[in-house]
Amino acid sequence: MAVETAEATEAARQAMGGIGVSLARKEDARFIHGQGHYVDDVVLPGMLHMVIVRSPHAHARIKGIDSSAAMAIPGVIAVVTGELLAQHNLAWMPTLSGDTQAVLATDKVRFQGQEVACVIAETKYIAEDAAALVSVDYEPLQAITTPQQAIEPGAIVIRDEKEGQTDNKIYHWEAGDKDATDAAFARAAKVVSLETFYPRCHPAPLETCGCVADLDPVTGNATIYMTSQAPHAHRTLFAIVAGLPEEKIRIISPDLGGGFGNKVPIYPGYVVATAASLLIGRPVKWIEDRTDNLISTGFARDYYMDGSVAIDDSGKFIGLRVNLPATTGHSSRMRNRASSRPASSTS
Amino acid sequence: MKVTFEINGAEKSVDVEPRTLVVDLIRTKLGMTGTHIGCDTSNCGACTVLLDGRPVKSCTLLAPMLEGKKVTTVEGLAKGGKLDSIQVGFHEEHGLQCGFCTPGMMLVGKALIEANPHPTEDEIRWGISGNICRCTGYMNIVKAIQHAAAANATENTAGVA
Repeated sequence: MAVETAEATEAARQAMGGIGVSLARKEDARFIHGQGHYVDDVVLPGMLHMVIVRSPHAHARIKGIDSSAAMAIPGVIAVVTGELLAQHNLAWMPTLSGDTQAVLATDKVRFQGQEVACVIAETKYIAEDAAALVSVDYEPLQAITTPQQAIEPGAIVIRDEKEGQTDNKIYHWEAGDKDATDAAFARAAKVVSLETFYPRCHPAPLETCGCVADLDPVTGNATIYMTSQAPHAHRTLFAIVAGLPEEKIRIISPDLGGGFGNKVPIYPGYVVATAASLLIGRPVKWIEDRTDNLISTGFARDYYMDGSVAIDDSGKFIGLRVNLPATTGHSSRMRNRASSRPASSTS
Repeated sequence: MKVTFEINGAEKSVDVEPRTLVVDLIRTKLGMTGTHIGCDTSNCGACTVLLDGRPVKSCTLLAPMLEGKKVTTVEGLAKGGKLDSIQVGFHEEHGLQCGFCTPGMMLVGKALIEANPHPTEDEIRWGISGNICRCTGYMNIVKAIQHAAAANATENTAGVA
């Protein structure tokens, strides 16, 4: 009888579509055999390798870029700069949250680690050697490292390329009922306040970001293998940047070595690799190293939080106020405006 | 320069630049992509392989250091279509999610239980302390290694009987 009951229970669980049942994962077989297929495992005939030269300064004017020593290394195919991209109207790109972002810096760098030039070579080792020889002449400008500095009157404006931008605020967002909250605080038996800093964290997926861009010079079709958590949104953005119809673009997101939101925004490396593949006529692979990933890709938090709770005499919470200046970095790349977090933010 | 070594039981002799990292030799020259690159700095363990049975970070070893050595990668774990007990453990205990750290974790786990067939939980946690997982967390990875240790013990007992 007990056996029948157990079997009946098991049958009922199966009928419920697997709830309460241990299911074997379909992906395991390839992963435990070392047969996963991540973006760095993609190898195409004639494929070139790209390495990014980044800014050591948080804010600096670019006075010149000398890539002659890099170009002199055998196996180096091209050194792409912002100036070259500007000739193709590709120096800036939209972000997923309606802001803009430099693909490669032209006039100045706006954050430490910003993409300044890309070296494309026959092997990754040659590209790394050449990237070390790209000489950039910087004139350092005053840097802003906290939201408090950013909103000081007279603070230097980082995003001075944006028309009408006179301060360092990227967005301001409010939610809730201010009058009702004020009233709740006015009648509160007790108010408890806390000022705290919620430090920046990085998603740091074990697999860094990267892509292999393959533009077919005959058909004009673009196939981009990338570590993407949002392939459809990325296809739309590539179409806008490249001026191509979406059906000409195929984004292939193979096995993803973790994402955690880090692989939602679009990064300059994807755009330069794609443009380079178009201009050179060969596939181009770009894979970040860990420093690239930590210094330049999407992060989270960095909130200076100031909150108060209004409490009545029975101990019930009757009101909540939160004000939080947040650092978003050099541009707004995720959907901050649609965020459910109460926030006022500075760049 | 020429480097001669054994990998997963097969002898290889390859021409490489002396500065070639072992992980690049394995992935690019030999086309075995189960060994991953996560940090380039020996911090994450995604590139772990066994060198004469000892786990090493292949992103900070140079190719000439392989001369005359035996290398085992994730591709060498299953033998004759039969999974190694460490692979079974990771599958049974849900010791993986995205799979990127898994080859390194399995190789470290295998080396650990070969040196110490009955490790405590603390010994397992110490054993995997050079390997980072960003998805699953470590609870199930510890269970996976315990699962493999228990399976090996049963098999050895059965063999004696």
